[in-house]
Amino acid sequence: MLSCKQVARLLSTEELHRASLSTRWGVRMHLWMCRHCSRFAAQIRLLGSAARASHRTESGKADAEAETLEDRIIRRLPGRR
Amino acid sequence: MTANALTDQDLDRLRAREPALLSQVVQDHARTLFRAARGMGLTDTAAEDLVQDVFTTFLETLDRFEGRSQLRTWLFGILHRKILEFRREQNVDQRHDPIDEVFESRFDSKGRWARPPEDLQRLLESHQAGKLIQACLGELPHAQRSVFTLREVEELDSAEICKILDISVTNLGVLMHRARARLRECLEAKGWRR
Repeated sequence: MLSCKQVARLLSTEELHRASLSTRWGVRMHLWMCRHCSRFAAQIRLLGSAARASHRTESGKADAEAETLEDRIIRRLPGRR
Repeated sequence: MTANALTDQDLDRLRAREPALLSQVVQDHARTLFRAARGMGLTDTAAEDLVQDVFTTFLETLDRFEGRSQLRTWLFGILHRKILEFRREQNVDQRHDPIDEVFESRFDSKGRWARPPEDLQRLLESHQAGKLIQACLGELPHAQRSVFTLREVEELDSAEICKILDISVTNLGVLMHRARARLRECLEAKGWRR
């Protein structure tokens, strides 16, 4: 039986993707039974989605700057005046 | 030419420095590189300078690009090296990190939760979520921030990140684990407790 700490570490390091079938099954069973670990798994997903959402907002502001940056780089390419 | 796949014909045209194709490469990748540089904590000005440098280096080293890796991977690799030079940080510190003890302290001696995770669902529902997560990302050590950004924001797969940052998959796991632990602790400390 995997401990909560082992499950949390497997999820957080993403080692679970490379783990044996029995370990992956063990984690799945553990998550069914343990509300703290299933909350931990949800936290990992939330961190990713919150970072992506925040980045999209920031990117909107950055896109205008990126466009002028593209122009500047393209103007300096060989064969361009 | 698509953003990532390169045919032999494209490669020949690239090596011939065909202006239309070079422009296409800039249009396909400059914005992503700029966003990633900012995501890794660089200011707008520094990110702009670095992305311009990336394309300068790309042109200088184009003859060494054999098309075995994706163009995006090649460009991200150049960006990563530029950022390392910029910060004069040549090593990714894998040894001791105090966040490991914080993670350990959340469990008892049998590996059960002593301090269970908080419910961060409200994070997504708050209008302050963006600012808070950005503030917490800003507190991550550079290597952890780079790995987290490439994995979660740019959504690159592990193999590509390892190639770009020249790290092992084990190191990638350690950096991701530490980044997530820091972000969680940071968000909870900033008031995400029940």
